[in-house]
Amino acid sequence: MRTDRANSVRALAQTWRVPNFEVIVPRAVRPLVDQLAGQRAGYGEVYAQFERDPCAEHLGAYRLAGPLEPAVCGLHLRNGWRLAFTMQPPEHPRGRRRVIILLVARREPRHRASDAWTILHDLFGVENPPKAHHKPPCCQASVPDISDDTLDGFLREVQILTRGRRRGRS
Amino acid sequence: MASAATSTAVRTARHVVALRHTARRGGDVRAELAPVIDELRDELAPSMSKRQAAAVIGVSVPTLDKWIDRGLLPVDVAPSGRSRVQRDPVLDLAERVEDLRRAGETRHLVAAAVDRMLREDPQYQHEFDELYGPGLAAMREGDFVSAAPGTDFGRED
Repeated sequence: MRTDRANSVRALAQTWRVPNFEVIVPRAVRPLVDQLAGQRAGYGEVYAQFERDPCAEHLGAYRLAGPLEPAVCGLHLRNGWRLAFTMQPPEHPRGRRRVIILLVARREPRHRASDAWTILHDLFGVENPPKAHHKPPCCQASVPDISDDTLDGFLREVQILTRGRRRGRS
Repeated sequence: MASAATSTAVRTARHVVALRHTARRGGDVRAELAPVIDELRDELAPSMSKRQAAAVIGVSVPTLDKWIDRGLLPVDVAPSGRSRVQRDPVLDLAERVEDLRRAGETRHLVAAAVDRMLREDPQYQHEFDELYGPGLAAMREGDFVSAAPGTDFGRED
């Protein structure tokens, strides 16, 4: 009897540990995540929270302004790092919703070439709104939603950029 | 973000299907419509989302999924990891489904249409495999990886 109960509690605990969200990153962007090792940016905590609920208020994610407003949320990591992400519904009814990390970079307004938000808008091929905005919570009105076509366009640009950088290094 | 583009693509695809029907009257009509149909078809991307494909054929996404799962409609995986259905087979299938609808059929349309395609053309499945098999296998790996922190991440990283 006790064993049965222990097993069911264990099974329940196991269920709770199953992440609600699949947190993924484009292969070409993965090196940007890896560069956070040793940076004390707090990415590990953010990743764990993304798996549970990317809309949790204490995470502090906010909606970007301008043309990316419907599709992309931003997040302040520690030590000046910024993270941009979007979300997609599961592809199959029993699948998990997806959090897609689009970019991790430093916020450097004086250096456009390496500034997180400038790079992000360039990759989407849209105008980076010049002024600061009020940063509403990411999921206040709705969750960010990106179309497959928009995401594919972004990924193509990322691949072109990373190929270009690799060529530049060799 | 792209809902307008999506509905435009679906509308264009439906126009292609309707024009193909009209072109089947043959003679001058066929000759006159052929370039228009080709031009419209070329406006469409070579593949479309499952939602778009289902809308073009006029069935639900789960119905479409069923036939994709059975390998009767070729899909490939876009860089986003999403399945994309090839445009031309969708147009072929939509045309045959439309035939059945006009003939008064209301149930199991996709099944009947695919069955008809297979009967009319025994090479149907084989050609799909030949055409799309190697490319699909390469693309199925997908362009996404886990975003989990690496083993070299410290507690504060």
